[in-house]
Amino acid sequence: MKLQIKRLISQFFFFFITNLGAFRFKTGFCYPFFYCNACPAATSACPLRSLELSVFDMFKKPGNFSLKLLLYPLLILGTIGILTGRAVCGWACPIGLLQRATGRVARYLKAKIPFFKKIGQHRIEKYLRYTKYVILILLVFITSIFIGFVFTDICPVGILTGTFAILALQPGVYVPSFYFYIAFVIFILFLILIFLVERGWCRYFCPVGAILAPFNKISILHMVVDKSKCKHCNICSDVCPMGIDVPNMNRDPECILCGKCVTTCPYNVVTYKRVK
Amino acid sequence: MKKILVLQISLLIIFSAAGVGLLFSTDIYNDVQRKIVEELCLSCVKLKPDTKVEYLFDTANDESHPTFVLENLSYGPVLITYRIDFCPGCDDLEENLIDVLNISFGPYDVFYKRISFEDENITFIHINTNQISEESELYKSRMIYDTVGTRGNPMMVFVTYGYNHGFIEPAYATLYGLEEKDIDDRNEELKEYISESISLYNYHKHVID
Repeated sequence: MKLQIKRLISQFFFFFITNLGAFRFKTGFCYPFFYCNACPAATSACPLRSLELSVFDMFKKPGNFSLKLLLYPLLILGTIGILTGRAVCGWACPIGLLQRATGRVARYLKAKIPFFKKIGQHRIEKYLRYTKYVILILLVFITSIFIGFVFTDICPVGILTGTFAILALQPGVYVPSFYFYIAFVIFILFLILIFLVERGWCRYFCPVGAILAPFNKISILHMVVDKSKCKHCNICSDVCPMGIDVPNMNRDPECILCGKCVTTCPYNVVTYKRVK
Repeated sequence: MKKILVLQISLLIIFSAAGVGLLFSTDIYNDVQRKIVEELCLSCVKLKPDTKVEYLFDTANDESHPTFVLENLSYGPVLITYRIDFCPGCDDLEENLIDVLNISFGPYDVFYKRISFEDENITFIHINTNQISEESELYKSRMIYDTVGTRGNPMMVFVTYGYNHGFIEPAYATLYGLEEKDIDDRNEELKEYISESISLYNYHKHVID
């Protein structure tokens, strides 16, 4: 079976597992990827919600910092990160599955309109990728201590998987809160982004990706390029949804191990490796 | 053996062992399940229940009113607030409750107190559902009054008496927070709700007596 078909099956499988809450199957685990626990069908907790809650009471009620709630998602993400790096982004995350679908549009626009090709290649693009670390630190941790749950208040994935689902299932029961309109604007921008830039959310904004990214440097499963056989045709970089310079990636934190470079390389120089 | 492999194996053992240890030696699994997964996070969905103060006779799950409510109803209207540990909306509401009812309590307290509000008797019951057993009557009472049925927090219930097809019966109204933004306006809003439940109580209790 082709690798990309396997990946699609895996993504749908995890999408199904993620939404077993629809059958009243609710666990006490945290997802190792980005998905909102407010989705009526969610089985587990968003790791970011757990991190937010762990530090939330620190300022208001000193001494209430919950270490176990902080460690729990980090240990889950850490264990998976050491095993597979950011492979969960490419193989399991439902938001990744959504972006796989919208990526076709982004790819089409990139091929047809020079402006969109430039968006992903602008010199500030590599700095934009640090935005997700800023969001993680600022919106998930710092604002949770001093202000409140700013990240969950404006999270576009919460709108997509939680708000719309609840409004559809229980029409007339809820009304928008103050943050709804801000979050809705951010959600529209999120949609525009993922239609314009392939994996735009993963590249620039996903805080769970920010936690997993450093593990790519030490993960057991990773991608390797046999530079001695590489012809520098750059086909791999062209198809990479994360916009990585594949021949020179060397355990790039942005790599989601989707394997598109593996399947498209005509010389088979890009491969998965389990150990160094 | 290569250094990176040693590092990988070491980190894998540390992370997975710590994770499994945390899972089995603490109540984190239940905490996450009860406090995050099973509770509706209104912050995540950016919504608030559109509930107006409407007194109902049929409970949300068709079970009878809890005994602790019925017992206290003979003293005056009963005001119950439900919350969870981590809940900014609940913290805001509790500021108003402390101001209006002139009492002091903490977010983790589970208690009831008979108090005087504008020379009338009411019973205030504060329930943090994260601090009590799922088997307790206090915990189960939540579903009796959760008219929306999604476990939104905070949840505030006014239980009083009302006229229902020829009978005076316990009536309740469920609210999920206050409408107003300003703290003084919120205090006034809360006072209005309490006063309304007292008026209903006095009018119908008079008939019972």
